[in-house]
Order: sequence, then C-alpha cells, then structure tokens
Amino acid sequence: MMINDDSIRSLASALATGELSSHELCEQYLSEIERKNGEIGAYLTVCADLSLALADECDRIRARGDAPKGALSALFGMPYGLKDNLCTRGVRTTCGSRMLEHFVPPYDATAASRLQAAGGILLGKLDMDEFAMGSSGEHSALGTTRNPHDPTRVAGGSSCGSAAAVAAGLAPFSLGSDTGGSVRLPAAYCGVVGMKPTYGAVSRYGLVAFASSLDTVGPLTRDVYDNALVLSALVGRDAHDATTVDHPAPDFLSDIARGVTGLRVGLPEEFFGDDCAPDVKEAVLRAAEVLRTLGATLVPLSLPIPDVALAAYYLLSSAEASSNLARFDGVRYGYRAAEYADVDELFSRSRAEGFGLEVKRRILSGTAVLSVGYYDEYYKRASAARARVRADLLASLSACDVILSPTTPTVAHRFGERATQAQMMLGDRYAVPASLAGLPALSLPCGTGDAGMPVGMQLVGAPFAEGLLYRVGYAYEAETKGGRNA
Amino acid sequence: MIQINMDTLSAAARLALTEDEKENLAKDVEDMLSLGRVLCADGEGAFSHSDTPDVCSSGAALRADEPQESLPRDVLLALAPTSHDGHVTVPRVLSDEPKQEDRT
Repeated sequence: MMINDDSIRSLASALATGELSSHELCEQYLSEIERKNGEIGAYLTVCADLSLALADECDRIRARGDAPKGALSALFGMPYGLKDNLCTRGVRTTCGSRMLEHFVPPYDATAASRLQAAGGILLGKLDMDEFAMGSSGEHSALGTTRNPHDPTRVAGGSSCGSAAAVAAGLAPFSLGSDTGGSVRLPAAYCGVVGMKPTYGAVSRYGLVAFASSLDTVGPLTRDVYDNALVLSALVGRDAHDATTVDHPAPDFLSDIARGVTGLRVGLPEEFFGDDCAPDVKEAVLRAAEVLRTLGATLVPLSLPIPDVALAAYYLLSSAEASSNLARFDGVRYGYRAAEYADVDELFSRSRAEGFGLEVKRRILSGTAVLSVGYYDEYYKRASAARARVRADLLASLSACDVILSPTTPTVAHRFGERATQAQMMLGDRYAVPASLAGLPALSLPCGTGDAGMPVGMQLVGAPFAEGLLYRVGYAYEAETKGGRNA
Repeated sequence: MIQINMDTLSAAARLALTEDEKENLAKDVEDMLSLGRVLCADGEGAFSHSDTPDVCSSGAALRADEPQESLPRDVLLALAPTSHDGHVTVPRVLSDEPKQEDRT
C-alpha cells in the first residue's frame, strides 16, 4: 500500500486490519523523507530509530489486542511531525535558530505528550522561521523549506516545514504554531488544511514562546476530518498552562457531516478588496458559491479591520517577543559567544551572534514599543485597537455563523520576491484579526490560482466554534473533492 | 519621521550590533513604529483607552499553591554552556574595585 496521498483515517483502517503495520508505515515515511527531504527541506531532525522503536511497541500492543478503542484510536501507531518550537524530551529543538541549534529539551510540550499518549509516533522536527517570526519560511537559520507544488516558491511561514511535510507526503499530519497566521498561511500556500484553535483551547506548555497572548498550537492535515481528529487529542485544560480551559464543545467529529443548510456565511468586503489578487478572490468567491448551493446563506459584511489589526498585531507581538526572548542570554542554555570581556558582553554578543536578522528586528521594535515615551503612544494604543478588532469580529459573528475570506491575499510567492518588511507583512492582513481576537480560524484548500498554486480559504468562528468550522469545511471539501473540483 | 537612537535601543535589547546593522535596522524599526500612525487615523483619542483586553474569554484558573516536583538540578545544569560545582558559571558580575566616583 502506498502512503503518500492517504489520510489518517485510511491509514488507520489499514493498521487496524493488519494490511499495514506501524513499523512498515514508519519505514515508508522515513524512506520518503530520505528521498525527498533534500529538495523539500521540511525536516531539520529525523528521529528514525526512535520512530521505529515506538512503531514496534505499537505493533506489539496491537498484536496483544490492547490497541485503544474509540474516536482517537486512529492516532494509535500513526506517524507525525512536530514544528521545531515544540519541546521534545531528548530530541533536539532548535526553533530554526542558531541560538538553540544544539538544544535538547529535558521535557515534552503538552501537545507532544498528548499525541504520544494517543500512540502517535514522532518522525521528526520540522523547519520553521526563526522563533516563529516570519510569514514565508525564508527566515530559518538552519534550513530552507520549499513549496512542494513549486520548489522555486516559498512554503509560507512560520510553520513552513509542517505544511510542506504534509503536502509532500512526508507525514500524514503535523503540528505547527500560529501567532499571526503561521499555521494558516503555510497551509494555504501548500494546499493543506490548517487550524488555529481558540486561544486557550490547546496548551502552550513547552511551546517556545514568541508572543504569549497570541501563540496557539494547531494541526496541519490532508483533510478536514483528520484535522478535527488531531485537534480532539490536543484540547483540554493543562495544569502547566494557566491560560488553558476545558473546551466547552470538544466533540468535533459527531456533527462534522451535518452539512451547512441554514448556516449564515459572512463575506467581509474589506477582505476581498484591491489588495487581494484576482485569482485568489475568484477562487474564494467560487467557494462561497459552493456553500450557497449546499444550503448556506451568504451575508455581506463590512469589517474594516485589516489595517488596524495588522498595525496592532505587529506592535503587540514585537513587544511580547522582546520580553519573551530576553531569556536567551547565553547563560543557562543555548548559544554562548566564544569571546566576551564581561557579563554584559556575554549577553549582547551571545544574542547578536545567536539571533538572525528578522528576530533582531522584532526584538528591537518591541523594545522600542515598550520604552519610556513610546509605551502610551504604541503599546497601549495597540492594546485598545486589539479590543476594538475583537469587538468588531464578535459583532459580525452575531450576524453570521462563520466569516469566510481568503487566507492570504496572494498565492505563494517566489523566493526573494518579497524583499521588504512591509511587503512581507501584507501577507498576514487577513489572518491577524482572528489571532488578535483569540478566535478559531480554519484554512482549507479551495482550488488553484496563478501558476497552478494552491489557494486557501479561511473560516473564522466564535470562541470554541471549531466544530462548526470543521462542519462547514467538511461540506465544502466533500462537494469539491478537497477543492480539486472547485 | 520617527528618530530612533540605535545605541540606546540596542543596549536596552542587549544586542551587540555593528554600525551597519544599526543603520539598516534603524529603518526597519522606524517602519514598524510607523504602523502606529494607522491607529491614530480615527482621531487622537480613538485608541487611547487604557484597559488591556482580556485574552482568555473564560478566565484562567490557578492551581493550588502546593509544592511539586520540578526538573532535577543536574539535568538543567547539563544544558548550561559552562558549570562548576553545581552552578552555572559566568564572568564576574560585581567588581571588587569601587567605582571612580565612590573613591575618596
């Protein structure tokens, strides 16, 4: 059985019937990684010995008749990849940075340990923009991930490896992190499904912090059902993360095939304006029409928030990043400079040599935002703007059940095409509003645009409405065969 | 245009930058801060509300204040670039020499 295009569900079925063993499944993926990773660059670390050992243990458990039953049993013996900012005990975790190039965590992130508890098998750690700062995948210090659909184009960031691995058949699913679009944007660019859950739904313990009030952990998969399945294993309160809550509606699967009849789908005009490329706009509006033919009602909206949200996001996330990355000082772990005259130079040289340009840019900007004379003007104003964005989104969600927009204004660009900071930021404008508001947002493929590159559509819902987003996405996907017949 | 003192900023950020880096990054920092102009577009007081929005919609519950096991000391020390006798080692932080202005 060939595995490349298979979903978790179909692979789980093969495992359950004995058509495949977990060992064989892992061997196939490891072989594909060996064959393709040189070109795609998705993996920074491959855990071949570990994954085969775990696979053998799963096979032994299954042979005894002790494999778990229930909805999450599909994850038992199932391989996956993890973005390299999720700590994995005994396995190198680099955050795509020289600062942590040789760092081996002594503990597991909760998201990783929950997948492990479900019987998942770690294949390896995936490339990313350094410390999750980037939208293209061009800011990793340790690798270059290429878009599997066109290797001259970026995979998107910051979860570039997570998206590319799933798209290229190098893992049936992966986890990424999403602070301002970093799961959704690469999912859109690579033609896979990516979910940013409600803030607080999934533990951030063990996720190396970028912006603590914005960071989330989310799955990337080949289809909507798989995504719902993986998220089911992740959600729930964690004593190690005081911002987590028990998900009030954690059954994402029972109603997933219920359809969209009677649902209201909001279309915010400001997300389909002149800044949206015509090919992307056309694909997403076609998707809206598909939902209408399936029984949904399209509701025009006015939501003039992208510019304000983008400004607030970059000011706030940079401020939080400057604070979070202060821990990397060359003292207790991570990179330490070889030469320094005193402790101040130990800090400043270690950080200057360990961090890349984009990270320095964000730290400096964030330091400025929080400094005396600028704090009121920038940080407090951005905080107030964030409250406005959340209020506006929630008000819109009283007029509709989900908000539909493009995930990104364009398809994936070519390497080097977006040379300036401003150009790069514009790619985030449709994603950051949901991030600021802490709302769930799902990106799924809805056809192709220029040069045959994937286009992603984004569905945003009310807090903890992941089940509804999956229901809408599932209906669209079933009708269009995952956007292939869009 | 916003004027940034890169010497002060890089020192506050504990980043030892070259002069070229300071010049290039100054422009980037100025551009980032210029985003703040968008937030003034509605008028001076439009986004000046001082409340910080509540990110967690359901509120956070704190765990009981009970001591729990943490990571072993030797495991954490093994991560340090240098250590000695159970401590992470760094250059001397405090000098034995009094500061010039303290000398009588």
